[in-house]
Amino acid sequence: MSEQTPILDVRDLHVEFPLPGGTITPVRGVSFTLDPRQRLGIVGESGSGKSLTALSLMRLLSPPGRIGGGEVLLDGQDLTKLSEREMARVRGGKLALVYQDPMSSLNPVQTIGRQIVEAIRTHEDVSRRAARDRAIDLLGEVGLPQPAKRFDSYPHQFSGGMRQRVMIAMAISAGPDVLIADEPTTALDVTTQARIIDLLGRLVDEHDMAVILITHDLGVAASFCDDVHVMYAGRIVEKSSSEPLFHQPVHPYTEALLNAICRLDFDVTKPIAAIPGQPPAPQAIPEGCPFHPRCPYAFQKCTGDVPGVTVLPNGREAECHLAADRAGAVVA
Amino acid sequence: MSAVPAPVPEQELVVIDGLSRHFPLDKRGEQVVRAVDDVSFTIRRGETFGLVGESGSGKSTLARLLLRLDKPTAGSVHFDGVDIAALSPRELRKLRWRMQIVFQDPFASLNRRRTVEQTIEMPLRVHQPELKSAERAARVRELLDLVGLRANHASAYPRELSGGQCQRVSIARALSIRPEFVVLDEAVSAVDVSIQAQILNLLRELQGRLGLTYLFVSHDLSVVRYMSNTIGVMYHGKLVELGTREQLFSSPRHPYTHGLLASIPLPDPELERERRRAHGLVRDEVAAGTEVPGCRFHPRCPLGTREVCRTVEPPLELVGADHRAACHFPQSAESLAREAAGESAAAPVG
Repeated sequence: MSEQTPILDVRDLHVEFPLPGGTITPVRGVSFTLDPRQRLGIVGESGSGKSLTALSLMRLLSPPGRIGGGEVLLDGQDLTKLSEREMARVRGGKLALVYQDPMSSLNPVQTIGRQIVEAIRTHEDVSRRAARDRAIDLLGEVGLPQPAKRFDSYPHQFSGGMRQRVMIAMAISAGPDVLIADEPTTALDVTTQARIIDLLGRLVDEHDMAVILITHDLGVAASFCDDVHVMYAGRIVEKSSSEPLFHQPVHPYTEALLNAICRLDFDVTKPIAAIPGQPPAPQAIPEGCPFHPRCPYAFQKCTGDVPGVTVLPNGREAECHLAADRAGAVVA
Repeated sequence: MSAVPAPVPEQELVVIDGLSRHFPLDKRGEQVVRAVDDVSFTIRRGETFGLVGESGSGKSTLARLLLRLDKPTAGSVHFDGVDIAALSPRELRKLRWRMQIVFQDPFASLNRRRTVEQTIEMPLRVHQPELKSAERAARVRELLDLVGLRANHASAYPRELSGGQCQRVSIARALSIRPEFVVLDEAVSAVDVSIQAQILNLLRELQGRLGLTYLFVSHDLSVVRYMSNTIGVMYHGKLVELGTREQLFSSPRHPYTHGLLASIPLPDPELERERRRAHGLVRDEVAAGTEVPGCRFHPRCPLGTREVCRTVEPPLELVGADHRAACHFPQSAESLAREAAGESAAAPVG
């Protein structure tokens, strides 16, 4: 990885939910950095804390969820310390979010044009006319055919893929430094997904954005990301650049997850290597390594000691007592 | 694979012939959505027939027609030689004993006020009222064991279970009355990767042990490939390609099948980079319900500007032994890419 100053620096982020039965902490100390123009993937299964991480960066956690600790430094400024008013300027400005479901994130009773104009005028003091022209340009840029004509259409008049294009146009309207895409293609068909991922790739290059792609789909991460972080039970358990992660996973969870995918080239005569059991609930994180009850390599130490971060020679990181051995075996 | 003998009628469990289901858009029925349009295929005993398609392709409507949860506009479904449309309510109930369905959303398809035991034994109460409660309880324990749940799960409510466990309960419920035919409608689509693998393995194991016949409906081509012997690809209500797993995946012929295959992201960055170019093959979806003249795939097809594609609907025709495609120009992916490149060079698209 390069030596440039990161645009985003997340340090020991905690997300907690005070509930009647006690406080649960679904995100338990997440740290990572994002360089300008970097494409970072955060992958994990449901309940791993990946989407809560994304929402807390935007400070959009719904109550009673809250940031329980840590810092989110965007260009040196700690977002967790900002007033709600200051945060509103950052949100959709330097930091933008694309959600999974474009239908529920667009206002169904307003034309898409009006919604984009509003997004533009929130962050920039421009006339309606100028904002309208910009909006039409943006719609064209995200691949909407006949953008001037579609400007006055309502969301329901679009297909799912087109709606997601509109959402992306809105997200990039203020020229953000960082785009967070939370499962942006999960609700779409596979042929549409491929085209939206291609579009995202083109836009982040052209607009010099850094992207955090949150996804459960390792295939989507592989097709888009320079680097991938794997989350499990509220922690990032492995950090790596994309290629070695998929070819030589260090953390046993990453390995198990890759083996569990029903791949297009999988031998149909064999059973799939499923991971036994299920991910832990946030109120019942196992002692020691949170993955140890499901881990085929677990030994005595794993049941009692929480593994720290092992930084490997090639800059990879893994939270596993066996990380050094496993990485050595991989290199050898 | 060794040579497969020609199917004899006894091996055919479900025969679908010219099946259509049109939904009227207005009161007079002048405008209709052709959710399923003239679909024919056969499901053999003991096999898994995979039905793949994207949202709006009509695959779930078709599944419902097979179970007579919905009535067709035209065409017929024969189950073990019997036309299911001709059955009296009483005969239909007997038939339902032999066919079951597992839905996508395990939480939504379970009654949250019933325990696991109550859920699983419900079909038994309906279809085998003569069973004593001890016999039912024994059967429930056997079923829990069969799907990999513990006996103490019997008293649990759905909210106490994970998504994967709920799906196991749905499967146990479907199997409780020992059906021959099970429709799996996006049965693993809502669960995580690690759980999906468990459920797929379970379904294959159960099929082997119980001699089940499956209709496996999914949008996920990788999963359909893993599960199915014979596969049909649906697009906007039509079967556009039909063949064995080997045919569909080694030598697909329909441009839509090519597009689907090229669109699946592989968990391998190197392979992904090589394939990236292929994504140009399929254009964006057209809004659902749009009436398309000619081949209904032509607006998205790289060859779709041709006169015949825009005007004449291609029938599902043989392109190899037992391999069919509904395309005027069925061909391999490589030759399609070549032709499409030639086409766009010759006539710039506006």
